[in-house]
Amino acid sequence: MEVQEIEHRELPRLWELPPQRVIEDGLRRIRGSGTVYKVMLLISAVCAIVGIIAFIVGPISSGWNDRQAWTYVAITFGILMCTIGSAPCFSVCLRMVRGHWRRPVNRLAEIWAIGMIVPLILFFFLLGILPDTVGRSSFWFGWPVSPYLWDSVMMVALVICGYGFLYVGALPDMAIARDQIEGEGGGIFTRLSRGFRGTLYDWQIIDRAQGILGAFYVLLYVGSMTVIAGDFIEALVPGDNSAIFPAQYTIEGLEAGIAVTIFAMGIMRYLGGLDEYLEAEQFFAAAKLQLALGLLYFYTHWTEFIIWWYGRTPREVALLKIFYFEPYFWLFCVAFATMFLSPLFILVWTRVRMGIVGPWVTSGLVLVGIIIDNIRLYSASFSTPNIYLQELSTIPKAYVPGVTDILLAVGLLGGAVGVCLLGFKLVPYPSIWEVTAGIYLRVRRKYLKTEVVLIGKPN
Amino acid sequence: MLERHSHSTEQIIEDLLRPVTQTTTMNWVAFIVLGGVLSAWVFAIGWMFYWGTGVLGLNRQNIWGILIVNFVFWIGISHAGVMISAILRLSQAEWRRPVTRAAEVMTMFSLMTAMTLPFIHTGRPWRTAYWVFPYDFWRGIWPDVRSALVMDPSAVFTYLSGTIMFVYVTMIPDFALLRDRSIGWRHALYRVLALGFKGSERQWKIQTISGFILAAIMLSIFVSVHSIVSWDFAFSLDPVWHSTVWAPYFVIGAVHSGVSAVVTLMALMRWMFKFDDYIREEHFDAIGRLLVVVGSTWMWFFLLDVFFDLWRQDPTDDAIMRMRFFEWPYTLLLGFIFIFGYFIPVPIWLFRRFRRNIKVMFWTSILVNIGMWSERYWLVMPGLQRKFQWTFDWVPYRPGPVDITIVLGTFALVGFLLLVFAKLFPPVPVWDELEGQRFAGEIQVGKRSVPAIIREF
Repeated sequence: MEVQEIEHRELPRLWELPPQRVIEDGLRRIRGSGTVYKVMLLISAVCAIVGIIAFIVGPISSGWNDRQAWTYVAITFGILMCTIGSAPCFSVCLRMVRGHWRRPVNRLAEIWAIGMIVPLILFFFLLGILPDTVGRSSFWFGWPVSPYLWDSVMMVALVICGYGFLYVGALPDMAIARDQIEGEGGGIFTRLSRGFRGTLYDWQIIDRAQGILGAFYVLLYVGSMTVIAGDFIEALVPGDNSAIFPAQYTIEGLEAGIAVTIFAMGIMRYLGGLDEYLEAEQFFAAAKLQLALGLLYFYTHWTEFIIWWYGRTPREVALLKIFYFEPYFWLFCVAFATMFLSPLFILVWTRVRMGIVGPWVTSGLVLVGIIIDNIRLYSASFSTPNIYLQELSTIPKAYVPGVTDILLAVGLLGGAVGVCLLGFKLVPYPSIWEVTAGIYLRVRRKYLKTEVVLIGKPN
Repeated sequence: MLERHSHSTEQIIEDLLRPVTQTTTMNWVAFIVLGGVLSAWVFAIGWMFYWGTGVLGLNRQNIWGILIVNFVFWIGISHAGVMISAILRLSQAEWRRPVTRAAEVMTMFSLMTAMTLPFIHTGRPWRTAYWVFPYDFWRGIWPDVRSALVMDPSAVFTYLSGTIMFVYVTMIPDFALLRDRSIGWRHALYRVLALGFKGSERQWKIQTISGFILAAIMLSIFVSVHSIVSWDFAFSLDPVWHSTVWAPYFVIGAVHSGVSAVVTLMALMRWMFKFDDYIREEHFDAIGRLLVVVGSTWMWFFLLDVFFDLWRQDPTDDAIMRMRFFEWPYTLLLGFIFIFGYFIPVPIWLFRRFRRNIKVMFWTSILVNIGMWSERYWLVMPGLQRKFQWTFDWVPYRPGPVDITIVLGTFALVGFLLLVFAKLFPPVPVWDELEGQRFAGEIQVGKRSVPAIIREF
């Protein structure tokens, strides 16, 4: 479709597409796979195999008594929770505010939920190195089987909710796939679509279910990140009672969730041929949220730092040293630069936000930052020899990863991405029903000397 | 926005200027009642100035009482204006239109009211003047500029001046409208305030851009103000005060109470000024949904603060937490916090039919602010009461009649100022409503006609 210009501004092509074109584009990946997709899947599979071997050779063979051997398992778990775990929260937020620009983006944020099986498996392995709550700092107050049972309940509920949220949102598109794809390829969609016919009742169910599952997903995500931050990081560092830290970790996660979505948008636009769906409008709006979360990242770090700095008790000085100033100082600097300074100095400019490269590059930097920050946090918490002290007396040296650790992390991360890639064979992207609804709800009209868009608001 | 009735321009102007042009019986009753309470407030302050701060319930351990709790409360209420006005203006949410001015003006008056409290609580504020100015090191006084108590006035004054500018800029078109429709002293007043605004394209462009820029600036200021207020407490090493979560916790609590106060104000404006066509159920529905998110976030931070006060199992912290949970009056206040602040209003707001019920929204918003005032007391006072380990100093704080009169008087002050404002200036932005009417439209989707909003590309 040709790009028209009125008053020197490019008009979004997405909303001019015919609905039949949207159906074809949405089903294209289900019907067949391109070379790029197959190559990425192959790389992910190799990574997964390498990761599993490194996992067995490394932490499993070391056993659960050596907590430090599990550092990079925890780091991988943390990175996955912060990125693919939080991306569906981004989708929920976009649905709540009901913007129209989000329509091609929602599915891309939700599809990451498919990969949540990987952090869930890692979580169950990590439970083995977690001490029980007797004699140490904890917020479980001696509840039975704490923290194992309650952390597990939270994580399992989160993963199930994530799958449910994705499924409910994709159900109408699976019905379209059922009706459009002939032969065996369409068979699985007959089962998955569960007789969806698009009646008013069907749509009301979808709407309600998305609302409830989305809200629960966000609540469970926040709860899970709170218990992970508490049990896997703070509880293992003597004297650490920073009440803001769970919120800080959750906000980092949300920032990374937006980043992984924007990064994926760039990949899908340039390699997936979806430039008509993922235009400047989508990057511009998502970049504003990226910037806002970057500022919140700084705010939560600053509030923690300044209270410890003003207090300056020996306990707080030790915490400042271990997390900020001594063994992981350069990691903190890199994380700070990529997660706060880069969104601030790149995305603060409107012209940059209105482009595509700026937000995409920033999202890549944020993803680097979240990896580095998780390395900093888990390396610190998994290095302390005695967690039962009231405060840190000596600052443990920085943990330097071995080859096994790096292979494990890279492998498992690649494997998780591969699981998400497999999701594109079952879940149409872009979201056919949402994008089509957006097309119907937008009308161009002449208004005085200019042209405007009327956006329908049926809710 | 979408349920709006289609009125002519003249009808909209007449309706929205009704509070300025007419004074109803309810107005007079409100003026008299609030004026009476204000008089008691002035008397109580004068009594305190004459007899000293001994007339308050303060004692050696409890050097701050409900005056400082009230200060924190009003700073919190002031956050509503920026939350609603700046954020919704930047995100171009249509439902903000009738709400922004009332929220911004409430911010202004809440801030002014809050600032009276640290001023009068010194007992002899005239002495404050001559030791504060010149505030430098020439006289051998070395104020600790790192103290949050020094940062606080800077932050609050910056916030107040920014808010005044923000309110002023967004009111200029309405000043111009009033200038063209008034005579006598009002005409002179509005002419000065309107700054020659004629509604040209350039003037509208400058006014709009100024509003956006000020909104963006105000957002950073609003976060910093209540963070610094929280650091008045958290920077010290007092047990249960010294917590890393207090800054965002105070900010989100401020938003929770402030936005609830805006709901109260919306309902009162609708009833007093007959703004049924302008402050509609859909506005309460939208703000109710916002409050569910804000309230839940606040509850998360509240729980983080409580859990991490108990985290280290420190004997001092544990003793204070036991006092907070199980001793009078903190047990009662905790009940208010949980029940009024969250467990009654938020479940109610989950249901659309209750969000669209003005009476329900009004009363739940009042409950929230009862809960939030209790929360400030519950946060501040226990740390002071058990600050030191000498048990002979553990005297309970009992606010006296002077304390209570001053606190009640602040509510009357804000209400009175809002009423006076509504007599001079339209409480709902006329130009914003007219613009909203222009931007409203309809599109045909199949057989259905769907409400729509105009947006530029």
